[in-house]
Amino acid sequence: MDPLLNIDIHRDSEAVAHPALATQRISLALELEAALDRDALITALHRFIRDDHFADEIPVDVANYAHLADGPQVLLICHYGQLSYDVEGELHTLRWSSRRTRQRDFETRLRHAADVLLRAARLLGESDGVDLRARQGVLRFAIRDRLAAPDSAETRAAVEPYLASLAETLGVTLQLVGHASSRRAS
Amino acid sequence: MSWKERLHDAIDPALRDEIDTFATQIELRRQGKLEETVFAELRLRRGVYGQRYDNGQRNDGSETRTLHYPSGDLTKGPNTVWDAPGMMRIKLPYGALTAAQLEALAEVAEEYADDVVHATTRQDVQLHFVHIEDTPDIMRRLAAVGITTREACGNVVRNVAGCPLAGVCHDEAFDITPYARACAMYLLGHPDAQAFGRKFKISFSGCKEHACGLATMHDLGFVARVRPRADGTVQRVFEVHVGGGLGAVPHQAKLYDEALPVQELLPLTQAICRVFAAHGEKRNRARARVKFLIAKIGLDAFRELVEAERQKLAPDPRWTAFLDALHAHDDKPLHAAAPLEARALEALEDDKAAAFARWRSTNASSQRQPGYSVVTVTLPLGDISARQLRALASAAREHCGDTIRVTVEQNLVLRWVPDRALIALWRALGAAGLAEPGAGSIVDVTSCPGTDTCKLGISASRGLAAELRTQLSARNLYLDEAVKGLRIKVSGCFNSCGQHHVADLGFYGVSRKVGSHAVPHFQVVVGGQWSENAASYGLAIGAVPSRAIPQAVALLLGDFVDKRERGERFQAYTRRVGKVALKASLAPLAAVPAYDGDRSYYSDWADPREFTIGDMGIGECAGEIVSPLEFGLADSERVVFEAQLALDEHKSHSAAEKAYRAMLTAASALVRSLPEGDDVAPTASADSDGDEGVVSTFRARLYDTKLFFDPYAGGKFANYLFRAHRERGAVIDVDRARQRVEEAQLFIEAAHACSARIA
Repeated sequence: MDPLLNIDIHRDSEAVAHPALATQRISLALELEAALDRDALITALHRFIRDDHFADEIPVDVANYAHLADGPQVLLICHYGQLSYDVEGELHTLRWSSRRTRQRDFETRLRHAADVLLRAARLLGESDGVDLRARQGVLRFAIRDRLAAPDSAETRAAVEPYLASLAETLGVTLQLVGHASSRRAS
Repeated sequence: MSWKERLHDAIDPALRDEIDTFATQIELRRQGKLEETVFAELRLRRGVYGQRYDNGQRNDGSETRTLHYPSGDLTKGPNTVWDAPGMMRIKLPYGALTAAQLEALAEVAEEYADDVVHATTRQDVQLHFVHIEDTPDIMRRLAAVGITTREACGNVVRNVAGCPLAGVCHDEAFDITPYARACAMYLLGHPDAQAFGRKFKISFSGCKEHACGLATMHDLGFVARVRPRADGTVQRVFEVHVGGGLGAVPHQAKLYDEALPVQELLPLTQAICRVFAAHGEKRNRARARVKFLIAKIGLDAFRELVEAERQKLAPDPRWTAFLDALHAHDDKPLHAAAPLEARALEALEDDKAAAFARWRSTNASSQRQPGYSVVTVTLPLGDISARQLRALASAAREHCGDTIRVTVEQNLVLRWVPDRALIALWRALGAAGLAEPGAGSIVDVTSCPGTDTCKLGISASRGLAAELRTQLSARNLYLDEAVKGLRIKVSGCFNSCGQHHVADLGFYGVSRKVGSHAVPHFQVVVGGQWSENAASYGLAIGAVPSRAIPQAVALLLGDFVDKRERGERFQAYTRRVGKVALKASLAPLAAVPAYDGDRSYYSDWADPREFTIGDMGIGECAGEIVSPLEFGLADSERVVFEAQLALDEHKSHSAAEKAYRAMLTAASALVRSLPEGDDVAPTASADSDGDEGVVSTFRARLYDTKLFFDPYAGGKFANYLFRAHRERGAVIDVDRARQRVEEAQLFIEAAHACSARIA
């Protein structure tokens, strides 16, 4: 997917008090280079629960939708969010979607989401049969909250500084791809 | 800005108030001000259901662990932890959906659930892994597109099912849609349908031959018929069946009336509801369906009770009003009829042409109206993702409009598709991964949620169904024609939500102990009849380990192909061969390898954990027995709570009015709980005549009789109501408002005490 434009972000110009910054529903995803073995993934995620990985997120269950041709395939359902392996046409992603958060501000929530996702990717990469290879330097961002974060320039302006800061930490730059509520850091 | 504010003008006011009320009830329960059993039934009646692990326990394959949720011990019902994610059932009368509704479902699935919408065998849809705090907003967003979740669960009239081909079917007597719609609307929230011991299911079918409506396996089933009149015209009537049902103890419905005039549809249904409420079992939940009542007293006695109730009913204009507007909600074809052009087919590349032909042969059928087709969108295991829903909505908008229905086989149908648009629609569905062929065939396996999300599930019905689907799809091209049209249905337990009794091959989950280990099994059920509205039920012939079920299917199908007589169907074949022989043929598959030899037998499909039934919980299908009086008193507490909030916001007049209304609500509930007298028990209402009726009846039956009197305070609390009633409309200052709120609180406490004395 080619970027549509590059965005120059200035941390100091962040918008304040935009409802998007209060959202709990932050979604970050890694693009994967190849499909994952669903059975191996299910086994690995059950092991996550048994071995107390992500205990802070309170894992509840593993959901299997491998029969869907398009959409989530396998999910680790947690109280505070969901880790999902998702297929959309040729695009395969590993996504963390927060649903409830304990962090008070948007920046901490965003960084926490990135932390959970990257930890999960690392652990899955070490799991038997899960050949997880993430596309280097690519992170997809979305807010799944149509009330707080409608697809608009205002939402974009509000969240851009935080994304830039995260991108800086991760050593990547921000690019806008597709539509306003979906970002790709590369 | 909240969804409540954003959607204020988009939601029907009555629905808006109901949802706001539910939001308040959530808050009251969170504060411990609403009893958990009452709250459980209240939320069930809003479609907010529990799901597996909501007791806060989960077995990880080696041990059972406690899930340490932040809200701790707070519950949303008996044994149901507050924070545990739950299921939300969304009722869709006769499965009807519009494109806008598909999009709304996609949005709520994406934001509040796990990105997936699940179609059920009763034409509902469900969201899973939903937080209870999110449910009012889900309801608001659905209400804004005309969907209510009210009475989707609980001991009420559930979703009114109906043939998804109604109005376009070649074989129907007439379109049952307006009748099913009238029935659903009439009974929604109807006072006569609020005090059942268990749920009550209704279905409509347009014909006797097909299975689309499954009318004879419902508590109340209607089959459309026409009968000729002397003048050459025809009269529309319904064949009425009562007391059907699957579940652990399946019952075939009994014929109640061969030809019920359509004018009698609603009053008869109402009378049956009243009989079920008055005479149905309440304590023994396992025997609280109407089928048990009929089995107990006999059909003739049941009919006498119904007819007596029918005579008592005061005429209601809604009984027949809908008959004057039968076509008001008809589908409106988006495009004119047009044939599929030969050159369009010729333009398809060879592989595409073959794929299209394969899909068309199972997933598209001609409508009664020439030039149009009904297209079935096969949903594997009844699931569809949020992205797919949006793609489907877009395709519907382009090709057929708001003509979508959910089927009892967990698929969706698009009606009024011009034949000319079939290729374009197939391409659009294919782009979304929705053009899988095989609808209504052996690969289109039906399954209940089973151990994936259901608390009662024993074995992984979805895991097995997915495995059978995969294996049979791979072989489908080579399957004998005799087996392609068979039905396979899987339930996770004996309760038959997967409708295993009415399949050619049915399975339901059981557990068997082998040594010191539990092993998942499925009972094999053969001989059920899907056609003729599920005319007969199959019987179990023996349990087979879950891992060996695909082999069992292959064996049974292979034997059928080899041994069937010319033209013999599967049901006739099983009858001829006999269950003893069928069971014997499966015997070699019943053996379970030793634990150390093959551990795959000791876990279930798509679940690597060692199998256990320790995760089973107490189901909420039976709901909670909560009397209308308890509901009324709980509602009065909700209203007095709102009065307190109004006080906090310095809205004295509103606070006083709400406090008065809280007392009226409690008084009304008490009055209605008394045995019927000569006077008609009134309900608290917004109009002053209704209020007057409540107060005067309360005075006559509870004050003058001293039934309401406190042992120490006498009639003091009743006088709070009388005074507030006298003062209605007067200017109220903040002190008087506060005083009235406190009085209302005391009045409600006295009502609770009175309720205990009456009981």
